[in-house]
Amino acid sequence: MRVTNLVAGAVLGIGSAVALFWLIPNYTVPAQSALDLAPSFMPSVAMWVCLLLAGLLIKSGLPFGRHDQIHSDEEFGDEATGLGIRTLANFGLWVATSVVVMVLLQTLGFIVAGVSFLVAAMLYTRLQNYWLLALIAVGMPVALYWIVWFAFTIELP
Amino acid sequence: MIESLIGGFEAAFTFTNLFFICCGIVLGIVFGVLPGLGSVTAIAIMVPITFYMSPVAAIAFLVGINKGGTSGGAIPAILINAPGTPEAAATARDGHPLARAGKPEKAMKMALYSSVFGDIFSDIMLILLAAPFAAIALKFGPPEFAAIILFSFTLIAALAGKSLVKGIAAAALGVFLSTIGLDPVDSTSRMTFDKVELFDGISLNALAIGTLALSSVLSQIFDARADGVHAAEPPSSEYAQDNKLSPREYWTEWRTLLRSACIGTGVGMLPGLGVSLAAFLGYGAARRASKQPEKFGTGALEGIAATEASNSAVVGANLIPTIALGIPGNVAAALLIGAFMIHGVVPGPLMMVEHAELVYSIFACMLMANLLHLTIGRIGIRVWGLFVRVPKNIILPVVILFCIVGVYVPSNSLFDVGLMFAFGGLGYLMRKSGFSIVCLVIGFLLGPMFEMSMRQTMLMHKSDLSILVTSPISLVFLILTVFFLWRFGFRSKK
Repeated sequence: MRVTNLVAGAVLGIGSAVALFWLIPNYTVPAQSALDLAPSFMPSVAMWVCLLLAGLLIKSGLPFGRHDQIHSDEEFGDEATGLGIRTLANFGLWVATSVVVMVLLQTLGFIVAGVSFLVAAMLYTRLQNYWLLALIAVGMPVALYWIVWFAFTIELP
Repeated sequence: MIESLIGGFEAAFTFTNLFFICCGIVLGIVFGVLPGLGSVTAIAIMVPITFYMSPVAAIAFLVGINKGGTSGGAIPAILINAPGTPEAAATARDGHPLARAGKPEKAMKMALYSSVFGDIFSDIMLILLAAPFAAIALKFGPPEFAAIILFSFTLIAALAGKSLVKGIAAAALGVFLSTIGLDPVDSTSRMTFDKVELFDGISLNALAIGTLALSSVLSQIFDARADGVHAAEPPSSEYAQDNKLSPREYWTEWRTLLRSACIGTGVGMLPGLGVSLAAFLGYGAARRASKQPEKFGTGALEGIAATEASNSAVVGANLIPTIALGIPGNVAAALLIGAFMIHGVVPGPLMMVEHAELVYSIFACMLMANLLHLTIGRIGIRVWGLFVRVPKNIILPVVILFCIVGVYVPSNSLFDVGLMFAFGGLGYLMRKSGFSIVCLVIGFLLGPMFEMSMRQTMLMHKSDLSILVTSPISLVFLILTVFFLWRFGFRSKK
């Protein structure tokens, strides 16, 4: 968790600094009344807290810093493995997949996007029964499309 | 109260409500049985769908999912020693040995009946305590609410994970995300980049489904790729099947059931203490109190009863702070707050005054849901086990498709789908790095309430924030906040 804390602290710190010194000042307006809090107050407080905690995380991740003895996370258990190369590669794969799915949703619609995604995801997770794969990949998006139409009269993209 | 509850039953006892409760229970059990999903995922996906239901049907449906999901998690725990939900991990300790000894149905019956007992007990406590709590909370003003919310943030951050720093950082990020959109007082835009889709703020559905459901599914998909998917097999037994659970066997455990239900209710009433904690506390207390503690872990019915009664008792008790204060006890209650808001109902002390009929109808639905849960769970006891065998590499990709539909349907917006994908990625990184997603979601939900309380305090007291320390209630909660920061932030490091 040492390296993870260092990386997470750095990302959180940079994000908070960008929000504090660019985003919030440029995209909020001053208070309308002298008695009221400025609209920027709450987001600023939240980001100052994040910046402060990012500093603590970085400190705990430094080789000479005091760090938490965390072996297993209570909320996620063994899932909290830290930010290794594999995690970052998986994250990158998800970003690329999201972009492709969004483009397919906008251009070719839900059924094509759904079928393509299901085929890719099931092959990725090594499903080797190709008849079952084809049945689910085609059947689910089509079924969902019509269920949503008949139940809510909403047309999926 | 009795008249109000009878009125609630009259309003709630309709075919539509019963139908949605049944659907919710079945869905909850199925999601609970499917490894890695659970009731929170199911609620997150289904909250948007409830937009098309009446408020009573919507909340009853979601409560049904929660009840079904909590007991459903016990089924794979008993059959294949793979808890469907984290809180069912303690059930596996005695449930699976009993299944291996040729009594899988006996173990599942004990789990179901104990779960329903815990549910009924906590629902009764909810009905008895919600109104008095709300009456006390009505005396609170904005400074008291600001202090209570601040205390809740600290408590949830301290208890949700092992790192207080990461918990508070996640809650602060949630608060920041909640401020995007139009300012609640001035209606000026905040960090919207002039995008109309952001004027109403970030969609709760996109955030909740993305961080809670999608990120969990993504994590499991990547793990399935790396480790492979192994088909689950039910236990093979060399013994004859003995699956009868006599009333005598069940009621012998009445002390354990009652003790565990009290523990679960107590844990549920406090924000941040999760269902898993209740399950392990209940199990531990039963073992300490047992005359034969050495039998625990070898298939003791007492162990199953203790775990299931306590984890199910959290469900109803969680709604006490939710309804009385508007502060969710855990993430499932936080999602219920979102569902209330979709229907124009703001949880908090005024809810018992302004929407008393709705509240008592929900209470009535919860009591009816317990009976339906018992019936459906008992009838389907052999069917639920079949879901355990569905391979993850079929279920997980399909759930992502459900997530897309769940976000798109209420908003008709691909922008929200894109946001959900982004939050899915963020949630995945948070899971891996140990940042609490529960804190993020609760920070997002309580952020606007905290900001409004602070701004009302400023306006009412002419910018003098000393009221936060001169009001006794507010001062007590501020002291508690400082104590918890000290206790979990500094003392735990020693």
